[in-house]
Amino acid sequence: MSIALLIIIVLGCLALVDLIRAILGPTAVDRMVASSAITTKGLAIILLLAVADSNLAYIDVALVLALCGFVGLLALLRSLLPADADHLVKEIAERPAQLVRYASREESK
Amino acid sequence: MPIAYIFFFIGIIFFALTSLGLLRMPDAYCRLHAAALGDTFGFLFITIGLLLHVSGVAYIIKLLMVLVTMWIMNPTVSHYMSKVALLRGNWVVVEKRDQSDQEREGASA
Repeated sequence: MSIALLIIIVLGCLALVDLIRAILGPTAVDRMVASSAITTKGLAIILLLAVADSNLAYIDVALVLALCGFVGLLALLRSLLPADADHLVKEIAERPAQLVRYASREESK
Repeated sequence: MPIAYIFFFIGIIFFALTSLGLLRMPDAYCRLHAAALGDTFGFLFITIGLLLHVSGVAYIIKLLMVLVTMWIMNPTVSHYMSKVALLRGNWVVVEKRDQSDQEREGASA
């Protein structure tokens, strides 16, 4: 049991490391990546609580969190997608291969 | 069961690699790569450890449901995130290859 608690503590520290990227991240997508990684680690922590607490009902909690996290991440990403996305896809397909690094529209605003 | 803890340890290693990649990688696509692969595999190993730990058919089925949900959700969300990053204007340098590059490679090979 104590080994499972130790693993939970290590996973919590790793989630804090991800939080650094979520705070520092230069673009919105970096923050989304970090928050998705934090969600996965939280799911693993909840699953390991089932071992540490020897109460298998935590597995149901993890299942609900996985489904809700999926829908939430998709909704947030949908709101990040630019309004003229379909037009941009056609424009990118015609563009030549050499492009400027991080000439981000959100940074130039 | 000691074998379960070995699987937990492998999962912790994958999660640690994810955090390291998120912290050290240079741009959003590299971070996305590290987060998607590391989280998916770390979650797989932690779930295998729990499957060895848990007794009872109902909980094993629920654990497999969580695992399948994560293995569908993580690649889907990562793909959508990379599309959002591209459409929001995070370009990456692709070096244009000209005649001298190919001659240099031919000389070294």
